[in-house]
Amino acid sequence: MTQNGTLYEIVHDGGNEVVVRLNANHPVYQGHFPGNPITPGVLAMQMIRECTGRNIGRNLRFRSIKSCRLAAMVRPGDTLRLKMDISDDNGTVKMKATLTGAENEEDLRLQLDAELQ
Amino acid sequence: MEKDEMIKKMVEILADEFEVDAETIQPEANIKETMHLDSLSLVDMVALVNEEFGVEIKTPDLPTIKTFADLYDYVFTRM
Amino acid sequence: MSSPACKVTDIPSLIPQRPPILMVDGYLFEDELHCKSELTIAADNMFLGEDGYVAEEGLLEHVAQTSAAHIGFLRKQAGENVTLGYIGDIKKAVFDNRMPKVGDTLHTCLTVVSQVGGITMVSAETSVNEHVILTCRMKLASDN
Repeated sequence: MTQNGTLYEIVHDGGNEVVVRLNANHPVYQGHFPGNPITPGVLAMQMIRECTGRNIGRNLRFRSIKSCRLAAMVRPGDTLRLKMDISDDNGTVKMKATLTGAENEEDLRLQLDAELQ
Repeated sequence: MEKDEMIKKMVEILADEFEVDAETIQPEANIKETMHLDSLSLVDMVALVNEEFGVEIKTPDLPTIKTFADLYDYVFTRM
Repeated sequence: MSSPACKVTDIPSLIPQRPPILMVDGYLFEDELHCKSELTIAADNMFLGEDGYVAEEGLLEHVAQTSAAHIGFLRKQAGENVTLGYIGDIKKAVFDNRMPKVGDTLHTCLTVVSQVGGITMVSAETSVNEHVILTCRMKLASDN
């Protein structure tokens, strides 16, 4: 399931740097958590994986995750800046990414270091 | 294991795990400041000490372990 | 105290997550540091991709909810309420090429590696048909 347009929309596409807005009406918020909508960290990771795939023009899966730090909460309605550092080496994609507030890059939400294919 | 040997091993594994220069790990240096530990990476340190030395640092004891010398003493007396 | 090998199928009694993101359907308490869990992939699982396979993030959520169920089980045993928990970090996650599909049952073995304050570090292994599809380490931060 590609989440683009449902969980989030890309409001600015600058290649390795995109700005996304999280939709508040995604059904996940009914269960995460009832009456207290918080974006599941794993869906933020999925969004980053999709944006990386979009960037290099093919669907990607995680092969391994060296580390993923969920530094601060992400909530529906948030506008976030995703910066990706991607290298594509014979089909193995190494990726480092940071997700921060769109306006304030000190406002770190998530930091990811992973390999995809 | 002798204490000197334990300290050498501890410095090596901490420098490697937390990506700091081993030279900065001095006995009187503050652990959290030297290795830039937050509440999450502090748990990594506790897990690492348990795995490498078989010593479980109890949560109530953590506030007493401020410097590397405190850590060496804590671990060495419980190995 | 908890009796050994206690099985719970009423997962919403242990964790705050609800459908569509409920990713555990059976929990087995072994001891304070060990538990097992299960999840059979239903046709409406929200992590199913267009290719018919569960996305990697779904497996990570399953591990996170297994940890939350263990923390919730222990809290209930101690007479405390179940609280919200969050993934603090994920490390050394390795995925197999074969991802689960509808009808497959995930089996997860979880070990608590260490616990400091409200943060629990776990190590987990998830298999389908005795074939390991994910190993990882994860930290969960719980509200008090």
